Amino acid sequence: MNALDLRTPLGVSVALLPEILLSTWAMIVLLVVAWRHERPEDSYLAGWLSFVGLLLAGGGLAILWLGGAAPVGVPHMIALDGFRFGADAVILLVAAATILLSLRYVDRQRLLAPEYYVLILLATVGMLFLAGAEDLIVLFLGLELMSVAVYVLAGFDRFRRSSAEAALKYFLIGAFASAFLLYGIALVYGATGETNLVRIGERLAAAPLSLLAALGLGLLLIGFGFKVAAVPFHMWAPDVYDGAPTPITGFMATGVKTAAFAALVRVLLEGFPTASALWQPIIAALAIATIVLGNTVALAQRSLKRMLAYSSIAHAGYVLVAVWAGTTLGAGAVSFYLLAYSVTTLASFGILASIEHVGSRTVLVDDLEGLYSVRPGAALALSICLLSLLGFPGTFGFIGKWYLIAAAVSEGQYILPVVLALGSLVSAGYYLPVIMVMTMKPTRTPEDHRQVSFSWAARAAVAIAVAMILVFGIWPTGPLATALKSAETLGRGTPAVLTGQK
Amino acid sequence: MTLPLLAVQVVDEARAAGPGPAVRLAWLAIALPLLGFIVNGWLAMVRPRARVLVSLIGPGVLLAAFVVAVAIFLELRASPPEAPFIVSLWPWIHVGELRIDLALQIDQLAAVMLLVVTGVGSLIHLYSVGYMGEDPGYARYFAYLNLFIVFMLVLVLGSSFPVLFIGWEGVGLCSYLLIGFWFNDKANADAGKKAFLANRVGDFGFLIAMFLLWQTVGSLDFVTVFSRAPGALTTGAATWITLFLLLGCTGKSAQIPLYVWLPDAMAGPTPVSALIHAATMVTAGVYLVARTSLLFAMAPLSGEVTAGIGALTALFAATIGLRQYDIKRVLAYSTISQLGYMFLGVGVGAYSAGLFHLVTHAFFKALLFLGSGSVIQAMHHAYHATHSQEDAQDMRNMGGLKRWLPVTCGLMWIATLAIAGVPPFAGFFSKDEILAAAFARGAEQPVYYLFYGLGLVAAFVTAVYMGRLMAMTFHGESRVGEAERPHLRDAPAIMTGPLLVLGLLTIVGGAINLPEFAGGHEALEHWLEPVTRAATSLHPIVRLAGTTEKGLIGAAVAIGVLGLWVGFRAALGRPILPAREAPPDTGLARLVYRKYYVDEIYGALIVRPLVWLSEKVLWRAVDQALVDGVLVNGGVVGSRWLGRLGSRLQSGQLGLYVLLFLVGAIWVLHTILR
Amino acid sequence: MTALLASIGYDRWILQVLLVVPLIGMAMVIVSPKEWARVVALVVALFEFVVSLGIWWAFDPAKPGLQFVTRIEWLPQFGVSYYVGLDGLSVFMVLLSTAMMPLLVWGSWNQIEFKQRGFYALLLALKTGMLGVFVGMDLFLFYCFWELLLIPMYFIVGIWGSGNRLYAAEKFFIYTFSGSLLMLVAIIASVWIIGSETGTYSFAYDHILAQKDLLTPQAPWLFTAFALAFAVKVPVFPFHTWLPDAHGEAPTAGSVDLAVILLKMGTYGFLRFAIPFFPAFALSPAVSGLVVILAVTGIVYGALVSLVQPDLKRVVAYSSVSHLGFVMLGIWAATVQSVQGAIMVMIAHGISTGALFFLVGMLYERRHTRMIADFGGVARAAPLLATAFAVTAFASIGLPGLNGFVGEFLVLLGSFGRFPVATLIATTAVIFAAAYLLWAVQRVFFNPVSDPANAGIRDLDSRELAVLVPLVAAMIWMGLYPNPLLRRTEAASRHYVELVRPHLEPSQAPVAAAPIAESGR
Repeated sequence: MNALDLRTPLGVSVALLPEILLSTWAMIVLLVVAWRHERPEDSYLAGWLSFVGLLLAGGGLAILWLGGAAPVGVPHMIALDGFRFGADAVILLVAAATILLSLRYVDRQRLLAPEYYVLILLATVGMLFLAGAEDLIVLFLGLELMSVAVYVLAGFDRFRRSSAEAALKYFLIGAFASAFLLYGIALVYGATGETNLVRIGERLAAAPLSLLAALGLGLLLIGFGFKVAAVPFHMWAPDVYDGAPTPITGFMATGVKTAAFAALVRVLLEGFPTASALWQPIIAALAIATIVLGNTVALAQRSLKRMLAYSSIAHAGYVLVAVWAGTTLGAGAVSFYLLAYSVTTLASFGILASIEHVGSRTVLVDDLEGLYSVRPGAALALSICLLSLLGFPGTFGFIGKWYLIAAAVSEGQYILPVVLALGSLVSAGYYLPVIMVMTMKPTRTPEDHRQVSFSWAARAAVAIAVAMILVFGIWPTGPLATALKSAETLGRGTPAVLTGQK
Repeated sequence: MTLPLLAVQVVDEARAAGPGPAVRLAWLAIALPLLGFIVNGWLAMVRPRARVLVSLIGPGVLLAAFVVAVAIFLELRASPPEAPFIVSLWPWIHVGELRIDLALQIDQLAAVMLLVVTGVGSLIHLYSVGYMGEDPGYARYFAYLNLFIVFMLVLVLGSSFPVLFIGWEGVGLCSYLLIGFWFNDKANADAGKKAFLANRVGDFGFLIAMFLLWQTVGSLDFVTVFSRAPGALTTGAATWITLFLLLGCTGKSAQIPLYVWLPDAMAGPTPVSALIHAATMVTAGVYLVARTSLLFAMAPLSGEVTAGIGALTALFAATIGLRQYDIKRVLAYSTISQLGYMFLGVGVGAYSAGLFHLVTHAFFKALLFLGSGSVIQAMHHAYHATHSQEDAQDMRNMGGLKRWLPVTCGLMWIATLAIAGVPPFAGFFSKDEILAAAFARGAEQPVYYLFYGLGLVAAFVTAVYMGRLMAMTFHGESRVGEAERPHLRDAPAIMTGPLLVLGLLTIVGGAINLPEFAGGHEALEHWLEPVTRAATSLHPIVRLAGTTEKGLIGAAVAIGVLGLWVGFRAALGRPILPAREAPPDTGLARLVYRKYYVDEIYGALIVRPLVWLSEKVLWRAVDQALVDGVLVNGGVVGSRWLGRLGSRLQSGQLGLYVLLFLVGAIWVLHTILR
Repeated sequence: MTALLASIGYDRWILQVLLVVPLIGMAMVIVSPKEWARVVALVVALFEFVVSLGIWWAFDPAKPGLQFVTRIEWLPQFGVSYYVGLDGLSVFMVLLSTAMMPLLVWGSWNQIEFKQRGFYALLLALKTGMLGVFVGMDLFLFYCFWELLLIPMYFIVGIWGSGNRLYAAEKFFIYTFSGSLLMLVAIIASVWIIGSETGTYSFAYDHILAQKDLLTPQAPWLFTAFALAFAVKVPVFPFHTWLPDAHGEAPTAGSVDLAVILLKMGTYGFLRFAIPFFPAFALSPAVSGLVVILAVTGIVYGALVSLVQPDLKRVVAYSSVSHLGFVMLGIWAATVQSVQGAIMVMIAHGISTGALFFLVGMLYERRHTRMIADFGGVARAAPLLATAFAVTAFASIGLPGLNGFVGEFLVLLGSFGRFPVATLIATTAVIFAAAYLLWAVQRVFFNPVSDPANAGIRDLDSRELAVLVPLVAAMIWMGLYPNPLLRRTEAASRHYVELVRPHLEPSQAPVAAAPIAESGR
């Protein structure tokens, strides 16, 4: 089945196996929820059901991937390549972990409303489409599907004003950004008469870039800049991340970013490889701005959640460094880093979620004083996550950073890597104090940190994540190979894409 | 680590006659005191009460070493070698072309030093048994003393500059330890530190000299250096090397400008002053100049500088000696000035004369110090018995002691006549030879007449303060309190024994280099010829015509006798008040008494500015304020501040967010359309 | 001995064992009961030490290249491999750190009152990191170890440190991290530059060294990135201010490890990587001029500043700045003598400064203060302690016959030809070194017993003697018979010198005394 003819309904439906499975399952869960939504158990039930759905989707994905599904003939609306599969895998992983982390959390925080999980599933479907879209229309659909669900999730914490307010802002600016994106799509279509990325690539390669297309590219970049929260289009992020329920924050910081970056890379490499001279400086500037601002502002945060929010902004900047390269190596670096980053970030948000007091949602860094002596496991896990975010050798994050740097350096770019390095240096300034207060300071009061409680699901999720951080930190061969291979399949069948590939 | 076989290399292979058994065993002379040090040191740690054992080991090992020295001397005399024997123990530092072995060099010069060090050393060790008898640190004292001998022998036997440097620094270490022997008194600890630091300044010169030698000659062991030097060294290079060496010597031998540590060094036990700060260590500088005589001969300027420093120091220190009241301080300054004579000698190029004075000075100055030691101990016991707090070393508290200490008095008179240059005592011959040589050199370089003059005046001053010392100590009416007098008594046999031997040597010591006019044939000079020949061939020592020489001798003797008489009369001429009642000196006397305020000047010009610079500027300003405060913490604070600024932006105002969004968008479009 | 070792394939497994054993020990310590932690650690340390001893014989002095080499593919996609080996530059650093292990454990026997398990576990982890830095011949591996040992040290200072420990720990971490991050970029850049030219992407040391000419166009900033990382570790003035804090606040074991090994990593890095990779730039008049100025500044500056430190531990800390300056001078002078001297200084400084920190720690245990002013006349009550301190102090001063002299002498002797003025200034350190140490010794051990607490101070016990005696013995041995060490390092130093010699302009090429020497012999 490795050759799929996407012109036949069967072919298409096979190609969309994960998406189809997940969306249908989402409907099923919705039905169940319609009947059962009073008692906490119902919420747990919905959660587990959704988890199963994700497993199903994962199975579908596995069939495609391991089957080595590939399209025949002319390019189509949905991509069938390792890059999509890789991104999908990360997304599904993220979604599954989010659900595991949420189970106890929503219960503790009195957010009982089973739709929560359905929304996660729908958002995931959107992400899958976004990551797999080879056609700007599909891309926009996926984007919107994801966004709408996420808007709601962001404001899910009904009892909190800040949450609702943040969600509203997110929605408003989000709509604004979508408009830019849509307009960009329109202009590109106007310039090339195509919405299919591969064809766009061919057209643009044929003739010098028209003003229209350039304008469209710019608008697209703005739209994506918003989704990946690149400075200066990031303003929504800190508030939303802060306001959203913690697991959702993790979900947004990882899943949304993954999907958006996957789409961005695909658009740039398949659609605008010939225009790299145009978009590279912009990407570079965005990267620098994002790294600098994200890190420096994170320095000033006292709330752990907000600090992580800013650090995730900074990490988007790091990824942009590899996007800049515009090579398969860069694409591989992006997907690899997204995996490393998602695992680490989700784990840290998961730990944070389990540390938070019932009701109050702000955990200051100083509140962690002496955590190690009371909850050594949590403190250790969080320390490892932070070190991985810091990019310390022996962790997943280090390999990721190193891959990013390699991607940029291989294109003879030295400034961005240096900025990245200095950014990481600054980040040590806010990651270390957390480790310090956890391990080197005594608890303020004997009953500190008693509230910290991990559901076994959350514990499992965090444990697996930490294990991945360490194992892949020392033995990343598997992910590395996959990332490289998947990147090489990117935009298969299209000429002149893999510029400067080594 | 297995020690390589004790190999003996004979330098010029042509010579059939290899070294005899004694030379082969030369390392014993060092090993024995080392053994003594180890045992005594161990005893000092574990059982400080073991007096008998220590008393046996301490002096015992030294006497044994002396026997070795004598054996070596006899062997060399039996067949005087032209080139030195090299007894190489094991490879020390081998890097590239640099090959330094831990090796001993046995030749005539080494033999003489060996005899003096072990000989006088043994006597002083014996004396110490009596002198330090009651001290709680008895074992520690002998450990240090033995260790000193070890390093002193390494110094005189070392076959290369670095090996010599081991001894050079080692004796400095021991002097540091022994000066500060009673370390719980701050003054003593200070004195020790001062001595070591002053020496360190000299060592700086020594090191630089070695580097220069390495760069120019490409070797550091004596034989090679001296064989290559004539070919490899320009006069300029030789001058620089020797001047830096000279800096080292001025430190070790307490010459201007680095002499300041020696007077304070008297804080140590008196036998130490006798051994280290009179007889042996301080003469190392003279030895070094003699050892490197060839280099000095190649650099006339350095010779002049050496002689000049010597002559100047001789006079300068002597004048200070005039107004000191502490009996040991007088002797200390006299040592400095006598060392000046030796430098004058070797500077002039009369190396044998310099060494001759070194030897005789070792005899009579050791005698003087040990004598003063007996006096001090007597006074100390007396005061101790009456629980008086008086200063046992202040001559103003003494006077008329000959009544109670006849032996000491007599012996010290012998030494006094010797140092004053009265024939037939040892000092007369050696000092006269130096002055004669200086005078003779004046014929070609008039400046040496000046040096001669300085030396002559110094001789007079020397005689004066010695006469004063003897008068204030032993003669006139006694200023010792009635209560103390019955407790005054002469030293025990173990102490007077060595004194007698030294006295004897002081009387007959002149014989070792008796000049022709006295019926001798300059034995020492001939003995040293193989060592000094290379140098003297460049600058042959000018012989004076008989009449001139006689004249000079007459003058010198007259001056010596006159000086003694003047000093004696001056001291007894007017009544002397005990220290407690004595008014502080005024005017010139005060200036001299305070040693011309040299210490104060050094402190104000070097020490205090340096400390101020280090503390206020380097540490507080540069380190803490600039580097740490501004750069390091400043960077951190700065980025935090930037962060706060950034988070200000996060006001929550939707309008602002949109505005920024638009700004960004416009910028993107602008760049892409450019 | 050599044959025996060869028969058991010692050279094939020793390095792996050295790297792994501490980690196993770490695990054992963690699982062992609290009061047994230190015992387990000691056993592991002793085992490690004994095993490592074989290197002394198995190491072939004649070979300039790497020995004990093991190479296994790690991340083939990126040309990263597990590649370890030893040569004359690193052999004694390895032996020194293994020899220090038991002393470290024994030295901190009673000092660690809480969280013993964590402490000894980290101590062992630290050791793996240190050894890895010196044996890692793949730059990726090297970098990993280089960074990894920050973590244990960070916690050791931050948790078991004294006084202002948090500040010191964070300062230490950020300072070093800042340097090494740029080095990471430089490493990757070098590999990709070479790879794009030759087609083989490999982080292997000798691969990069062989292709170093391809780096020449980028040399300026690449070298700067490397140099910053190493300069911070050395530490070269003015990057030294983390040192007094880290040294001052760390527990004894931490300070000792810092002094013995961590500081040497910087100079080792210069010798191994920074200069051999970019010789032309590194030894260009401008750069070497700057470095030499900084080195000499450090020598004098460190000595003068430590002269006025009120805290005994900081006196020793600043003295390190001075000593390491000699190493820098020797490395840049690039004569066999100076390089050999630099290596000797690295070893000697490790021994004597380590001992000094142990001694300061012992004083602290007794009086719970490190302020010099609080002491005085200690020698009367504790003669053994005083003697040990004095011997160590004189070793550090560079008294010939003790270990300090050999290195300093060789460095200065070898550098004089190329940098006469700098050497002249550097030599003044012999005066200042004596000044600050003797002054400290006097105020601590001599002088009247001002504070009665010092009269009752306890002398060394057998455990402390067991820590100090080996060190003192090593000082004397290395002072009187350094040749076995010199013989083992000479080949490597020569190799280094020949490597960089072509890049010195004839004008500044060392004035070789060789010709005369040959003719003379």
